[in-house]
Amino acid sequence: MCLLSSFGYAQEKLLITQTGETLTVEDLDEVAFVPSGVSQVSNPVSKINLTSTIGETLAAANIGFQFGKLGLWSGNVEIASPTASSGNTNPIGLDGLASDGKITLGLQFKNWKALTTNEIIGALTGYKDKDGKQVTSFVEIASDDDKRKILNKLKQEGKLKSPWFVGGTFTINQQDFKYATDNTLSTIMSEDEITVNFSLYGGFYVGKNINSLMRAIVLRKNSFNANPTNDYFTPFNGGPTLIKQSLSIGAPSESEETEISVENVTAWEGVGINPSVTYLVNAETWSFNLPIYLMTGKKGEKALGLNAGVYLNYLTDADDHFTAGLFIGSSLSDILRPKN
Amino acid sequence: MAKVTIRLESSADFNIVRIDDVEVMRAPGTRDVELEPGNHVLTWQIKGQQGDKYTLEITAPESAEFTRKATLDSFAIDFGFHSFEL
Repeated sequence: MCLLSSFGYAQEKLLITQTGETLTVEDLDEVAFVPSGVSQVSNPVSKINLTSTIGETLAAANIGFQFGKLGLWSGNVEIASPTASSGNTNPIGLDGLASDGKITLGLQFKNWKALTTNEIIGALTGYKDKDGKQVTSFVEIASDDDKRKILNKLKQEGKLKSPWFVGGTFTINQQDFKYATDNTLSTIMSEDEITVNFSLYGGFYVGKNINSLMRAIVLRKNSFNANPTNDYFTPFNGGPTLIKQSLSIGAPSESEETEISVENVTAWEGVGINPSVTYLVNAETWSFNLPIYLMTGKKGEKALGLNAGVYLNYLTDADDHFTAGLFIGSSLSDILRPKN
Repeated sequence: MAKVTIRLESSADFNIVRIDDVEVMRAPGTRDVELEPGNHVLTWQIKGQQGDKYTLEITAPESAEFTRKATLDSFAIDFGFHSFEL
């Protein structure tokens, strides 16, 4: 408290108005912190974001929500479909989803224990910035060793806790299939199949600098797989003229899978790893995967962070148990985030 | 009582903004809070990834205006404080 006093901290003077009452700081644990100007009718949705992205392969519209006054809960609805080769992309219309269109619903809860004012001021007191001045924030500290010392101390004293999160996603995906019912090619069918995926996940940051992530995911999905496609010459309108068609024979097959996986994501300077263990419930198979991120991606002059390297994989139920190779994928920084 | 407007822009995943140890926001946005005249301490706690940026501002009242902009380094975390008087 003496440190706070030196900064003129007057905690006892904080008053909050809520429904006309005046509350002192001693009451604050029991009450919500109500911003002024908020109506008496509470609104569960505190913020809405509307964004759209269009890439070379996918166009998506995203509506993001925050729930509650503090925004601990968040959710989103994303509608996406392959980008049209020209003109506008229409992911959804009166007929429903576009071919290969996708709707994803997501909900997430994130939490992190707050440091008290005393703890923050105490942790930073005595540390200098590059100009030798007392810092008022962690990133201003000139020495990386000092930063490590502060984080280690806060962790050891149990003041700096790990951020954690839980969430779930629900995805509906529409796929269009065109196939011949048999090898006479007399009947051509066109079918829309709906695949449904849902996942539950949770994770927390570990390590002294809390930049290593542990995450568990349960994923349930069904999928449809078309039979192999070949080129056939079929009569056009029953006449003597033959036209070439790419067709598969037989309806697509449906498969279901439940996956349970646990993974770690850890980044150091110039290298990162993302080891994971996945149990494929329906196939009764274990998969052990170790991507090692070594290469930094670039878009123009902008560095994208580590996004490529080598991987090792071991599958318990396979002729060739071990596979290894190069991969180019998502940025490790993105995988280190709670989003899944 | 004085109305204090706090604004946070952040690309980081975890954000905590408090005044005198009372939470004001956990996500980017703008909030108004009513505070007694006197000295107060604004604190923040940000966790994201290297390169994430945030801007924390007191935009009102004019006498307490404050802007804090930072980019997270390889430690991917920041926390700090700012004292102000109403």
